[in-house]
Amino acid sequence: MTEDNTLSLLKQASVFIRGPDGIGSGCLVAPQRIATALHVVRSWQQGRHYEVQLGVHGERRPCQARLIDSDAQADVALLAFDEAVNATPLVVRAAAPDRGARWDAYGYSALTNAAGQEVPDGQPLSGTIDDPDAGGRLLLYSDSIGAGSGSPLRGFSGSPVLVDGQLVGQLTRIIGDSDDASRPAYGKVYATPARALQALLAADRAKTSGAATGTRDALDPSSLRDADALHVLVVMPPGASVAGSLALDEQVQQAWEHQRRDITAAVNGYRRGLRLPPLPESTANGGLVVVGLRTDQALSSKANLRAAVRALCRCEAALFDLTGYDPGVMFLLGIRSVARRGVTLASIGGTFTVGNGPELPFNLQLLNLASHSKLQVKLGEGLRPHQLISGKLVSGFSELASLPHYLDLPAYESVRQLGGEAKAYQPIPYTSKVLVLCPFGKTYTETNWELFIGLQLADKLKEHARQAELKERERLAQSRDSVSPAQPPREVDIRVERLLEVRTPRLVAQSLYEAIRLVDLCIIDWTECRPNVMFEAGVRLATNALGAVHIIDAGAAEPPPHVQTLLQSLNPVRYRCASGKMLYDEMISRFETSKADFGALRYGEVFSAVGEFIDLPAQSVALPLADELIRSANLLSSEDEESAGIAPVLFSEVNKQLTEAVGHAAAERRLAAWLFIRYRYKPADIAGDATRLEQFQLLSAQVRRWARKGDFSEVLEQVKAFEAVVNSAASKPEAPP
Amino acid sequence: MSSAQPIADVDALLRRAKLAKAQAKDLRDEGEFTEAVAVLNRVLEQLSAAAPDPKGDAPATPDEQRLAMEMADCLGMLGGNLRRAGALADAQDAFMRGLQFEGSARLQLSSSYNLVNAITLPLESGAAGTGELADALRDAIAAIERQVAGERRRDRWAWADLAECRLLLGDLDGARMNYEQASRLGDSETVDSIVAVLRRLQAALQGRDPQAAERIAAALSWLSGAAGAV
Repeated sequence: MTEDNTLSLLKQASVFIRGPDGIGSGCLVAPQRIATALHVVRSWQQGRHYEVQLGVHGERRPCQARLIDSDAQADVALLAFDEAVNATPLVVRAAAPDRGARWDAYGYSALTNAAGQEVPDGQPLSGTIDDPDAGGRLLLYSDSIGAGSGSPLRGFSGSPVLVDGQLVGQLTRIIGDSDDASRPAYGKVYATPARALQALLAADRAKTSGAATGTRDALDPSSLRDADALHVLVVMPPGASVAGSLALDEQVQQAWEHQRRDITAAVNGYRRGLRLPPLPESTANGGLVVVGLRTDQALSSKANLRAAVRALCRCEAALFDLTGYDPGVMFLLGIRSVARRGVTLASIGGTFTVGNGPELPFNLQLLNLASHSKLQVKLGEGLRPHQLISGKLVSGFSELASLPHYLDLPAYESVRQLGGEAKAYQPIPYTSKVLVLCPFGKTYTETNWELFIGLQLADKLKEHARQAELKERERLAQSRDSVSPAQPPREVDIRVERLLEVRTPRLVAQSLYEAIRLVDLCIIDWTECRPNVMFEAGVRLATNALGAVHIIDAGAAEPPPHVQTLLQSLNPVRYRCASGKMLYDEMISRFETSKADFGALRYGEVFSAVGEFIDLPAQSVALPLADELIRSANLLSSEDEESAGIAPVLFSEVNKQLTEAVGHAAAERRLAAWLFIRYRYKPADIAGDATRLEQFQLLSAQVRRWARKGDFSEVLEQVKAFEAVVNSAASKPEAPP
Repeated sequence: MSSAQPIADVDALLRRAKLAKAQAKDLRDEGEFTEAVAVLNRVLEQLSAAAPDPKGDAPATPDEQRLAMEMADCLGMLGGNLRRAGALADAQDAFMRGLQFEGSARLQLSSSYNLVNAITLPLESGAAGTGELADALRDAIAAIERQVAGERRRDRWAWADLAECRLLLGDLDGARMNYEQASRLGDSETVDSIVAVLRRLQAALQGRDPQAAERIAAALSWLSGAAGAV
């Protein structure tokens, strides 16, 4: 984050406080919540409102705040107000900053005007972290404070201290100069760390929305480190929950409390297939870690988005609150759909009940929704929100364990299974196709698309391609005489396509996600922040190192504040249909920049983060080959079939040849698995791994029967002989180390 | 019998049972019935320690049902191998033990292997005739009909069991239709297995109940046609 961005963030969230205790500073830390130092508001009376000023200068907004909670030991207070404000809360980070890291703060001293009134005078401060744990406080150093000529820091108490764009603490006290105690000595000042504030906020959330207090912060990497627990990520829109909704994280906790045994069994079935340790019977964390991710926090800085991507990649289960189709939630859902194959659930609150819902965005219409509305509770036993969630977790993990192509979101397969020939997975240059992810509404189509982007962009790109080729010819002509610059450039046929125009008979979703990954030039229009576009934006940024060219109609309604924060970093081209300022050259320039960045090894940030954090054991490549062959065999013809008497083969009743062929195919896969184990591992390796030994012995019995029936005597003898060797190795006592 | 074990144990037990059944089938195919019996007895000992109570009113948990199904299946296989080994009394005992699970109202298993074998083994051993077993066969038909109306609709063994009971009671048309269904749902091995059962019964009833033996001969004739059509 640049210094300018940090200062902007601080200013818009800063708060000037004046009351019986004098003046002080604070900051917006959640919608309608302000944090400050307790000593700034110590005399505030319970239930009484005091005026504070949010923001700076012309954007300053008076609010009537009241004290709602405090921590005397940490000197932190939490204030609440009811006014609607257009400001982005600072993201609170509990983890201590590194020694030497740069910090930025913004606080208020006061000037006295001609009328003798104190008016706020906001000032930035900055410096480095001197000691991240100075007796439980942060010790900060600042040259400007240390110069000795600075103003007394009266009024700075409660000022937010940011590191990497996140709130790590608040100024509380100075080390006073011996001559003037209000002036800081040695340039040093103390801040109280943000973890106390985070606890106050968690308790407040629990009171106001019923959220489970045990929910951890997804942006804190330590939240994801319990190997002995199931991590369920709950992705929520900003602000208080929609009326009629229950807290999703609490529903997850309830699902666990009521169905822990079944969920554990299903998760362990899945983990066993990946050779991961099972969830233990009892653990300190209870076996479940609910990790909360609010989109306003996730999108508030690049660092937070990166941390959010880590959580999206690493959590075995995720639950997205789709109530109102918050653009941030949809964007993160798009990233999740690329990053991890299940288990991902989606739920809607408000007035939604399962089976009586709103129409989903077209690209998500196949989602199997849950509900966390209070109305859903009234539908009774078996249909309560926590029961829907537990049922989906159990079936999700069971199916994920047994079905190689399990999907609960679109995109995962489509962006990976592209075909075996290079042509199928080569990048698609802009001179061939450009994909525009944009709304499909009538107004947008008739103006933004038909009059401008759809009509003119292809011609602009053709001209750009023509100029580029001419330039290249000139360059070649100067270096060697093989090409004549006079020769006219090739005509290119550039297709600028929206989803509706993609030319293929294949299923729309499949071809769309494939194109989203492959096209070099993808334009994302954030105008209206349509849910389907936000989802596709997440998919695009997660799958292509070039990122996208972001655009937005500056004449349209502003996106919600947290999306604006994201857009600050994406820096969209702000075009204006009304005045015809389409800024095509700027769009093309951004695209060329992205290619140059790629050449300079600077890849898209979401793409890089997904690639870095992707959970390897959850990828299909991590499945051992023998397991894959066995699973494939079992899907064709189950090993339970002889006992159960039922064949999984469709049409087995009416096509015997098909049934027999399927049986042979399954048997040959088992033979292949046996041979692989036979030649891949030494007998002692097989015998020394309980899972592999069990697998080998089962395969041996199955292959022997098949070989006997098919009269493959050589195979039969080989299986018998090698199994005897393995069994002998298994029966030997382990040698002492 | 104790209540169900913690989930991790149940999963491990079920995997062990699956392995034991595969090994027992392999040994059976090799003609090593005694070894197959030993393998099954070993795993049954482990399963028994965790087996659910077939009686009582409390609804069975999914784990209890999985364990009970495995117990019933292993006991059925044990009975089959004991019969092949000539230990008919022990085989009958195994089928009866399996029937405790299979017939339990609490456990709600969808299987009829132990039930039908517990009825027909006395026919093979000469301990009973078809007349004495008529009521038991009628009860079995009623039970299996309920099963094939539900989740065993596509289960070849259910239709084969139903056909066998009908055949022994003299319902040739019903038996023929049910054998046809079983052979359509199964493969050539299904027909081979049905034929082997009928040949044993035919041999046992030849002198004692010529009419029943004649009906079985007719069924073998249809089945040879069904096998040829495969």
